[in-house]
Amino acid sequence: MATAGNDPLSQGTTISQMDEEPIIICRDMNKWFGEFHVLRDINVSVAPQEVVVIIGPSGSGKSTLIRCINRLEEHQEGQIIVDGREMGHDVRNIAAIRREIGMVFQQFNLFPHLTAIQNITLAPIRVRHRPRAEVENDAMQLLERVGIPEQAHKYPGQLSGGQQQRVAIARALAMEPKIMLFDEPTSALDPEMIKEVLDVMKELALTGMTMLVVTHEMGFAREVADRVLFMDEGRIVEQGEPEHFFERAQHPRTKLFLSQIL
Amino acid sequence: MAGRRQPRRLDRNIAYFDEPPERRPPITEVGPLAWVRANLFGSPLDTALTLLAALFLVAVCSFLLNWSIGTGNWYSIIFNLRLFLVGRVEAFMDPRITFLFLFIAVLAGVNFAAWSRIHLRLWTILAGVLLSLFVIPWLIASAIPLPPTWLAAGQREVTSGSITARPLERIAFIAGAEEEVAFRLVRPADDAELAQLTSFSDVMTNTLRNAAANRLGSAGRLATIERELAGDRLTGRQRAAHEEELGKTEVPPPVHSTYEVSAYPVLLTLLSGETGEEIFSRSLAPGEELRQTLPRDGWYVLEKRVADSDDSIALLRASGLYPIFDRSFIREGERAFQYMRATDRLLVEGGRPRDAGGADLPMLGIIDHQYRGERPLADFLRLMLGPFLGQLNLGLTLFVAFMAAAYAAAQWLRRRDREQEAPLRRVRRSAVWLWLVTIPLAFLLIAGFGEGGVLRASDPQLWGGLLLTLVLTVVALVAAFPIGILLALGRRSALPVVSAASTLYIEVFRGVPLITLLFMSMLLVQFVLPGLGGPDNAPYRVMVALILFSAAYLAEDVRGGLQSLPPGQVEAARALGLPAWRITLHITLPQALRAVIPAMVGQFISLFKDTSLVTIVGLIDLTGVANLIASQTEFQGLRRETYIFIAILYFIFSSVMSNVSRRIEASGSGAARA
Amino acid sequence: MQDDTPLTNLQPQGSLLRRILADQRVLQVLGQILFVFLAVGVFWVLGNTAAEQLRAKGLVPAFNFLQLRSGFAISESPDWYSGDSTYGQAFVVGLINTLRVVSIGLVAASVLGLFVGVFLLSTNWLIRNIARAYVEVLRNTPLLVQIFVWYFIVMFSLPQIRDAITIPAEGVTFVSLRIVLWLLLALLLRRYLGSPSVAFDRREALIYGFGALLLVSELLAWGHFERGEGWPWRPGAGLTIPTLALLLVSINLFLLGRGKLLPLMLRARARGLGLGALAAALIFAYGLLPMASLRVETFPAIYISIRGFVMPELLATARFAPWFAYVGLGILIAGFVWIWLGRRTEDTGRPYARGRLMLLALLVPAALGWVLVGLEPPPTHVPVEQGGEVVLQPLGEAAQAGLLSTEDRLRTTTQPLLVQMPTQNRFGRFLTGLEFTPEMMALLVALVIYTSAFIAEIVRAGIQAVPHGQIEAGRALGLSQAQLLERIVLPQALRVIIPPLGNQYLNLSKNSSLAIGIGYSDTFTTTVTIMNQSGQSVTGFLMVMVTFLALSLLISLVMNAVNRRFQLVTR
Repeated sequence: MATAGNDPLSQGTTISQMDEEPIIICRDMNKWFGEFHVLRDINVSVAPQEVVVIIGPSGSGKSTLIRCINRLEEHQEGQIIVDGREMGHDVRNIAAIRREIGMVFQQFNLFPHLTAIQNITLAPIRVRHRPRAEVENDAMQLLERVGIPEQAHKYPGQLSGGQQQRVAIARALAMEPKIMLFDEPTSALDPEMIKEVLDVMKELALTGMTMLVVTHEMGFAREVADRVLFMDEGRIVEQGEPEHFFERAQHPRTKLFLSQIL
Repeated sequence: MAGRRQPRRLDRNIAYFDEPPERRPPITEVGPLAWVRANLFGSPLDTALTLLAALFLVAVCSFLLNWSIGTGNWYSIIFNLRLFLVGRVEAFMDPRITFLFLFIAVLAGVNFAAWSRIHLRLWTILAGVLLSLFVIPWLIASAIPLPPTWLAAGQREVTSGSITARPLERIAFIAGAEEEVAFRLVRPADDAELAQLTSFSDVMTNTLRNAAANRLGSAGRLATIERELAGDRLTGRQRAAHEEELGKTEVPPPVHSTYEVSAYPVLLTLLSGETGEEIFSRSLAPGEELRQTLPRDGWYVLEKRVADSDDSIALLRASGLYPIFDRSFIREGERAFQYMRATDRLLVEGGRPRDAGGADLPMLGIIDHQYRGERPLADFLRLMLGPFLGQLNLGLTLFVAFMAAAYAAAQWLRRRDREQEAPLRRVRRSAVWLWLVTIPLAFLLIAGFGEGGVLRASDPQLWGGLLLTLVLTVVALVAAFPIGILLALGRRSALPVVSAASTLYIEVFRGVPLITLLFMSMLLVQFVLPGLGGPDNAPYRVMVALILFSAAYLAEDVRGGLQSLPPGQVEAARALGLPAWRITLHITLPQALRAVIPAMVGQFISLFKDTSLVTIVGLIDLTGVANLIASQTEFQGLRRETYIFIAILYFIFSSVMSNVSRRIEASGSGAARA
Repeated sequence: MQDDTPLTNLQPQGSLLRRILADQRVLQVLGQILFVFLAVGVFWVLGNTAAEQLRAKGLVPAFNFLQLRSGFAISESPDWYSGDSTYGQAFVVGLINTLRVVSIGLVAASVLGLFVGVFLLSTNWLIRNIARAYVEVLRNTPLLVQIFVWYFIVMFSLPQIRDAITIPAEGVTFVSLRIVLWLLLALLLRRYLGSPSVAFDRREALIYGFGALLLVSELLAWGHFERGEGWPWRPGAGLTIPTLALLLVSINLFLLGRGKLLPLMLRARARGLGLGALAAALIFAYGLLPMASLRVETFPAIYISIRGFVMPELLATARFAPWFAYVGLGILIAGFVWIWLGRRTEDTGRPYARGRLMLLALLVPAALGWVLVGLEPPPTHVPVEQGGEVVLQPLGEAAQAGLLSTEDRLRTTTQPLLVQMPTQNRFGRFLTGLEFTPEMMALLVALVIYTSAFIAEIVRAGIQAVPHGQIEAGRALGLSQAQLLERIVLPQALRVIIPPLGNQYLNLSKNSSLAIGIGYSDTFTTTVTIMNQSGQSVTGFLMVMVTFLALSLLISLVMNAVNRRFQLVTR
């Protein structure tokens, strides 16, 4: 790791024109599942309002990486600093950081016993302790933003996959997070529903949300991402701006992956 | 050498002139015949099985029917219905329990309206059934006459086997005003007629009847032995035994001629029980009949005398005289006398007639004047089925009426509020509220408090029957519910100590038989909680064991529900920043509990059945009542009828519950709405 | 590489103590300590109260009372137990009784449950619904009530020992020699029908014809013997009027089968029935039906009475051990044959009659051993007691005179196994045979039948859990019905069946403690008696709980092992 070009952190800093402190910093992060070394020496920082797309073959640790950022998984070595707070064992920090991060899952994970609007309002009322009427008003606006205000009183079981995922995005947004994590948000969807979810995500990116997106949608990466990370076997192999990344990938592993997927 | 083979063309130059017409399938393939063939006689083996099964079924059913019509003494049920339902609770509890019963009817009605629908057809059927409960007893009572009572008179002793009996000269009975009594002196033609005397009869007549039957029996046995000895179907051992028996068996002379049954007239005198005034006194010749209408309700005494020189037995066929249940009891230190006529529950209070010496006169008690002999169907209907249905109809009708009223009211509310956003949800919410009210209300009504007033405390020792069974079941389940949830959460806790402790509790209580826990709570709880000692608190001690026991099982049910949740649910909630306790309260528990409703209904059913074990530690629940009745003097040792009856009760309750659970499972409202 | 970007905005929050108290790991440890503290506290308070109360009553728990004399008799106990034995021994007797009921019960309930479960899936409507009713009635009534019914109603209704129900009933039966004739005919028919060239119609006609022949001739013969003079048909009487009528009916039946009146599929059957009946009537009318029979005397083996059940006992004699060595050898060979032939089949693809060969390998050494063991001559004289002194008598004479005790017979017989039939003395008391008290039978029957209902449902659910596509796929591969069951259905069904089955086994073992309801001396009943006599209730309950937990653990361990094996095999 002698050449400057291979140093992920310095490269990341140059590309995203960081004027201010990065909002997410992972430093020398390592994680094991039992004997299995999932994440190896991860060094990443993300600037505010940056959209980072993480790609890579399955099992490469992409999902684990973003799940570590809001501590759905515990990392064992290294540091994760989000918005100036270290994600460690301190319960106050964990709660505070989670409040700032919204997450969207592959399987939507809507709460099936609550209606769409109850799904959205649950956390603002219970965590942020905001008045119900205000929260419900905001929730309706969010639903309008994701394009399904008419489904507010339906249960998740009555919605299509695309609608469920849009409710899930609205649910995450209702906490007014600074960062959004997307864990393969379109993988469980039928092709015709993928677009409606991607449109919502694009719109979100335009508003200046900081986003970390794990996805296989290369079109989305090319169009929206400020930076693309390629991971394999728990390592960040290569990263760069989309044009640079897709046209002039350098690492042979990246080239192989891109040739298979494109 | 062959060249390339031409493909064969099969469809060349074929014309179909006779198009096959469309035909019906063979009659063995459709319709009832096909059903019978497919379901009963599919193969030779099937046919054999069907025939065997049918034979078995017919044998079992006819045995059961024959027994219950001909022999079963269902008075043990009819005259103990209160015991079966509520045990020995104090009389002041009756209105309270009635109120609770009707409240539950309302609860059922509202719940039906909230969660399901009852079609008009079902209401019609219900109404029809209830109506028939009124009509059938009335029809039976007006169409079928009551069977007679056989009474014997005379001065001679009759012996049958080891039993010797002497006729009673005077016997007291109860009757109502305007009722008619009739007597006839019956002269049997032979022993067969004597042996087949059925209906109520006194000990004397029964002895006579047994003597005749025994004589006929030994004559028959003798004939069988002789026939078998003449044949070649006996082993050497059997032949020796038969020959020995042949030497020992002797047939006595005919019974009816030995005792000269009803050969001479008998003098009948009827006295009023209270005043001793004579109503009639007449001599009755063989074959002659005597009728008399009685002036008022109360006791009467019948005197039957034969001439001093007469050494015969007179056999009287009496109607209007029926056996009496002695329902006397001790209340507040004093003896209260109550006598009830078996056939129509005619009640007389106050002491029995006495003789000149001041001793009680023998009365027409049910113990000595049972129904003897094989009962014909008509008598079964008149004496057993009619009165039984007659006792059920009022309660059931009230229940259904209240349920229907509540159902209609809830439906009307739903319709009226149609403009509102979610009228159904409001009905459901009120249904849930009713449930929440029911439990404390039931506790208040059953246990009561304080010394006086409508709601004064009842004695837990006296709770019994179905009431106790249900109280124990419901209390155990409701109280175990929160403990079970805590244990389930504890077992899944990330804290190893908590998890290990919960697991230990659950496994120990699931690994140990309930009956040991019951004994333990009966014997040891008082050492730990001295307040629960003493016989008064036995139901509460039992509850402790049942609660601890069912908590362990409920915990496993709930844990199953928690495990069935996809892990994404918790992750999503954590990602939203919800704290752990809120995740449990708002996300995991509601879903888990919905998923395990069927399992919990199953738990309720098995607990309902398991409460029968409290009988072994001395409580008188439904099963205990069955045993208690077998120790009443009137129904000494009668267990078949009572066991069958409680088995039916248990069966009805359990299968209704499991039907409900199956419906919840099928409708999917129990599972998460995914 | 080490990054040296300064993290200016990352300041520590609060004091050290607050940070420690906010640490997840610390919180977890603290929570557990608090929990332990609370739990121990509650137990300490409760335990203290209890200990004080017990001490006040002079009932301090201890185990030394187990050495004391019990002073009570147990109706179901081995020879070594009496009122002079200790409490500890009484407890062991109870334990043995529990194990007896549980072990027999587990096997019997499984077998019965399997049958009922299969009946639940029967295509026969009547069978299916009888099985359904069986399951529903048993599952929806309390076990205790069922035990009471079996004990107080069924067992108490059994006859006195003098009139005991015996199986088989004592008496004489005549075994007709016609059986040989029918068997021969059936074999011939089977051989003929075995050839694939027989038309369907003819096959039907022949089967039904044979059935009619058998049925009608047996009916006629039975009537002749049983009804005697009242029966219009005589063998060899020629064409009497009743015989003619029978002939007419059968000919008409045959003609009906020739015509077009009946549905197509019934015609062949009618022809067969007609011909069969015709042949039967003619054979009978001309006296060609063999009427000879054998006289067979049957004697009871099982006695059922209000005093209990008595059954023949299988006893191992002095020569059992050497014979069993031969049997062991046979098992070894059979196992070897099984594995070796299995490998051969897989190597060569040739099918072997593996089952038959294995059976042969099992039976031949056993039979050979039986003969070889019996070769050694028995002692010529045995010591018997006669008039108060022991004298040597020739074996044959002593046996004839009935002077041999069971022990003597076990020592002197040349057979490795001896079946001891029940024998009664003059008062009906049984001297030999295996006796089961009514209490034990009631408990056993109730437990078996109750549990079988649950097992039946499990079996049904397990078999139904195998998707129908699996069976169709198996059929499409050309597997036979047996192979389909063995290789496709059973392995998949068992995977579903075994875990809940284990639960039912646990339930059965726990439910056996309901013995106390009818006074069968199992572990719990015995312990309650011990507790009443010695006052050691805490210790008693501890012993019972440990016993049942151990029993549960044992069953769970076995079932888990079985479960693991099946999960492994099927993956």
